[in-house]
Amino acid sequence: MTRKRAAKRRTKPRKKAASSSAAPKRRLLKFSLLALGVLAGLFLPWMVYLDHTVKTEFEGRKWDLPSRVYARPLTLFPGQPMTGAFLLRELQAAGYREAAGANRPGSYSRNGDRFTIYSRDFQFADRKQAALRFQVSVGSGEVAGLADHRGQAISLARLDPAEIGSIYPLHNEDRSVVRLDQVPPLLITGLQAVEDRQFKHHYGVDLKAIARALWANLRHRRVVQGGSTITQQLVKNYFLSHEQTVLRKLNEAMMAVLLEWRYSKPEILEAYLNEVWLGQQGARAIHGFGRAAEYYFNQPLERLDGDQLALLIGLVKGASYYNPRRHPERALDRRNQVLKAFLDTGLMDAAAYAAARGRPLQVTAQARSGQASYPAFIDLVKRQLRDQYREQDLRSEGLRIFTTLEPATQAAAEQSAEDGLSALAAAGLPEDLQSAMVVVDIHNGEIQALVGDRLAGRVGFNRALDARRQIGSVIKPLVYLQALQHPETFNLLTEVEDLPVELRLANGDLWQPRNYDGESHGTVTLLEALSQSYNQATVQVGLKVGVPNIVQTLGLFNLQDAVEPVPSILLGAAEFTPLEVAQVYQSLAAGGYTSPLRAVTAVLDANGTALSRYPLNLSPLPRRDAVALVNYALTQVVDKGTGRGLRRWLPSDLTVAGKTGTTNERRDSWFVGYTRNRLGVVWVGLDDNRPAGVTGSNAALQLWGRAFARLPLKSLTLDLPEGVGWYWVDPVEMALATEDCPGAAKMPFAEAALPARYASCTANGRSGRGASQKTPWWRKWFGKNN
Amino acid sequence: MEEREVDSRVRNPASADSAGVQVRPLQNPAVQELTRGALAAEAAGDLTGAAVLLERALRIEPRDPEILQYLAEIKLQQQDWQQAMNFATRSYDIGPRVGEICSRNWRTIGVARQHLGDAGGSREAERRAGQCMNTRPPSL
Repeated sequence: MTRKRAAKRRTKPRKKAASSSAAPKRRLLKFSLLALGVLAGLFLPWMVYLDHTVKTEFEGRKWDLPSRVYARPLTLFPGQPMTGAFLLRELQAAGYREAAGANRPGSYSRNGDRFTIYSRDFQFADRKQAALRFQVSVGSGEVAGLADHRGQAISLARLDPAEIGSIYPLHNEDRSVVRLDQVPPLLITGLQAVEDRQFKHHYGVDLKAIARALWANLRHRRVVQGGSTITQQLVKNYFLSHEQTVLRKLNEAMMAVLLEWRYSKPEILEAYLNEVWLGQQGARAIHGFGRAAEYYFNQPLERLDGDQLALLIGLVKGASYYNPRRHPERALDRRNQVLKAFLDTGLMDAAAYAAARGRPLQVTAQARSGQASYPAFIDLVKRQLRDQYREQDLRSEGLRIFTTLEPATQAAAEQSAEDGLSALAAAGLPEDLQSAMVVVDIHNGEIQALVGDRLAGRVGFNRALDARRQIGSVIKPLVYLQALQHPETFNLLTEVEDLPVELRLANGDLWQPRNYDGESHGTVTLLEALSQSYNQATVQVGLKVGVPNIVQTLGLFNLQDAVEPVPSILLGAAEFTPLEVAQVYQSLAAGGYTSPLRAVTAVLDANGTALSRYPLNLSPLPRRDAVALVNYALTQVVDKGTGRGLRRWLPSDLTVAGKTGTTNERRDSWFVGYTRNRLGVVWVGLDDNRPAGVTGSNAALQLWGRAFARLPLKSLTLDLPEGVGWYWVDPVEMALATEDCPGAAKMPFAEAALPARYASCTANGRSGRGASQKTPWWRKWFGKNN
Repeated sequence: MEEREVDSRVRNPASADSAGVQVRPLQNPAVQELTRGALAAEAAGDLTGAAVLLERALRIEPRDPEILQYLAEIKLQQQDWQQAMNFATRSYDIGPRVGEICSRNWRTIGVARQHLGDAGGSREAERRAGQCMNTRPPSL
């Protein structure tokens, strides 16, 4: 935006010098010259100063553009786990309006389980996608059908994502810059019709308009009319002082003239369109029509209709007074005045005017979510980007940040934390219980939801990332993972002793771990020990495999530094954050493939060019055979063990794996659970670490159940890697069986070292050949699917 | 590079091994569409684009051994040897462990190991690739 327009330079009309040489005239001339000199001496430097100010402001101004943060876009496809409520929540989060017929981008209509959705065009991280009107039907917990507007089946539809936050410039101006050639022509003509009809012709100030305004104001003895041109308003916006002094008015007028002298009309108009103040969201000022369109209508500016443009133009007069969310009647009146101006100036014909006038305001109920809506998640986004981007760039470069947040999953998590903690308080637990929750996609480590406070909207301590708490029995699967890496010694049916154990620690203390119920259970299988979370049996197993080896297992997740190699870590006397716990279980749940947990998938610059991508990465754990066995055991936790309480929340036929955790004196409650695709970690406790009366199953598990009950889920299926197979087991004798043994169930074992015992219902069992290592072909249940 | 390593050392020999006998399970149409897009992107030399589309396909079918192996082959062309190996390993873990895809799994692992300086591991992987056709699929 540069270049002066010499053609517009005006020369002052010079008075002809008098020819007469009379003395009084000469005195007058002298006086005039002196006055002119004084004036010039003061005025010219002042003009130069103003000119410099205007030039610096106009040309030196590079708008600081906030970065926009987007949720993951929802991709719909037939067979996808889905409920009507979940889809509805996603549509609402992305700012879709319910409208009969769904005939505009950004709207939907719903008829029971059938939705018609009109998506908006959007620049995704991979490509730009045009608006699409399509139909979705939901049934039996999944997307049953997907068709385009002609009814032709389509395989895939991607919705433009919810904007979940912005990273704002420190001066708190919110703006989405538009180019003059992108904005609807009606905005340009309509704006002039309402604000400055002489814009094309004046030189910055419109003397007639000023005179008119002056007269009106005098008549009413107060300010009822302003005579400011668009150029003057732009100047006013630049210097943002609203004092009404004559000197200021004069300055403003002179600067307007200077602006016009230096710059073209289109340049001035474009600056104006991006500069004018059109609303206030808390401490943040909404500048320009681009952002105003998003802020009030959740639509890009070029998508707005005449009535919507009229509302925005009307706001120029007083965005606070005519605030359509706070004063809808005033706003409607103002909009209709503007529409009338459109009609009077011929910008709209009578039919279009009548139609536009008949429409409601159509402003979205809520402003696009600002920073405060997902504080915990946005915090994580910033942390992930911190290494690669300077804070200053995040605040000013207009980056587009694509994240993994699933709005509907986040809503489920938040609601469950709130409801769950209220229910616990009602049941007599402390009122100030806190919680944190992490939900991730098992197969790619994408963080779908993050709750860091019992009030999800509260900015502050982010417990999901920063609360280091003892994890209790949540660590136990790692003890068994280590044990099961030695199939010649341990399989799920190996018997271990759950008996009192005493250990003299390095500091001389005597350690006597007890079970949760205070009992010792004698000889139990490994499977029972884990699924019932027996402490004494776990210590026996852990001591056998060696505490240093457990620490080494933690090392697979880079968590080894957080612990001391002491026996008490076998029972979870080690402090981790919910996010760290989620990383460990993500890896287990994915069959032993660690995908680093991530919140950001791509960052684009303001032009849509990718600056960074964070692709999916996998790294395999060395012993995925043992991982498969642990995963199976964790399904038994929910089926028969300490996680049984989950059935209250979930359908009985849904396969879920999980683990509870409780710490000393009931200070911490943990539950980690996963279905086929989703993993959730919940922690409940008190910030000051007082005993809270919580156990894994009475608190965290309840919150987890509430959250997952709201999500579309599929049963966990276990993949068995090479070397592990399914075998029939007699559930009473806990020994190998055959399919025809009563109640026989399948259980995974390392093929190289099967359990030695056979159930009495088998030929081997009856003949007492229990120690046979060779497995007849019929014992093995072939195939890899559960 | 005249002939791409991924063709000369992974796809072509695996296809030759399987002698045209291929069992392709029915794929989700959404996955098919994305995979087609990935093939087009790969053919146009846009490996990043292909990887992005395959990741989208994996969001739909995270345990599809075909997509995992295909992504491994893209990583191979991007010379991300470690990830090529990891994706191929994952594909093998949950795949049929027999036939053409098994052969592509091990050949990818072989090429990746070689580039990572693990000559012995690479030879072992080539041997495993050869066995993919010897082992008959387990029958019920």
